[in-house]
Amino acid sequence: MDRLVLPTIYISKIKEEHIATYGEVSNDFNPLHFDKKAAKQAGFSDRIVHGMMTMGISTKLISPWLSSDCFIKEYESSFRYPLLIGDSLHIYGEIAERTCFDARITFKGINQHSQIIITGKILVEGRLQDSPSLLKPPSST
Amino acid sequence: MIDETWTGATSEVVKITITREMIASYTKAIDDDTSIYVDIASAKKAGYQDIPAPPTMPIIFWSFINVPWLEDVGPVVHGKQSFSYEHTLIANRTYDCVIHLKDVKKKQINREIMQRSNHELLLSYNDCIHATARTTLLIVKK
Repeated sequence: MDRLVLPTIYISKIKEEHIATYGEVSNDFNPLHFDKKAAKQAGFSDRIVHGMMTMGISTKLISPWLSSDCFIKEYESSFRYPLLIGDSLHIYGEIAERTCFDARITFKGINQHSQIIITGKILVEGRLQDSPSLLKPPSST
Repeated sequence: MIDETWTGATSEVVKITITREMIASYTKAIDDDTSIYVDIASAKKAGYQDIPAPPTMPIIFWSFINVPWLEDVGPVVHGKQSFSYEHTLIANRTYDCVIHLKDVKKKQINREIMQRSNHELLLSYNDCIHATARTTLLIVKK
């Protein structure tokens, strides 16, 4: 079937404020995110970004189409490679499969060195035939 | 490292009320300005009773729950994460939240020992599970 590409998410540079804001809201002050020395001791070249911030950013792929008739059933990610402060982030998503009742989306996040940071899958369920959106199955368009 | 005798343990149950402000702060932190998350009129037009919570938001509920088996374990890295939903979580509801340690496994990789632990965070409303968040944590010891 056709694989429909979702609008790409792009952040040109992960800044100090991104990590600080996410740390505040999640109350996650793991030194790997805030202390360069601790990050280096753990084997990273710089402080690492919260993996859950990257996964959270990925939700923007699908959030414009969500409603009570079109809801997320499953959302999963694997964290493949650390995203570092100062890195850029592209998240690419595509609809791999659609029916009248569900849509399966795959995504991946990549840094400026084309290293894969995160991969994931989303299962959206609902009355997609009524959905005025990208998620609408081709047979009903 | 996590003491493996904790395997199967369950945290205390904590009641967490999701507020619109919590959702607004979270969506700001993940750079998502979709209107359903901040504008009640947009949320209601989309069919929700109140502002919906983004699908990855339950992870921040870990910070409300005391998880005794993770005390003093050192730096922890997130390996995998998934969320399963029966219902979308919405603002102005109080959920019963509990974390369960499913399993703990050690693996020797060259000169390092990597411990992988799987956790489940269950979110219930009126005694029905609305969401499950599954978290794989990695702890490496040289």
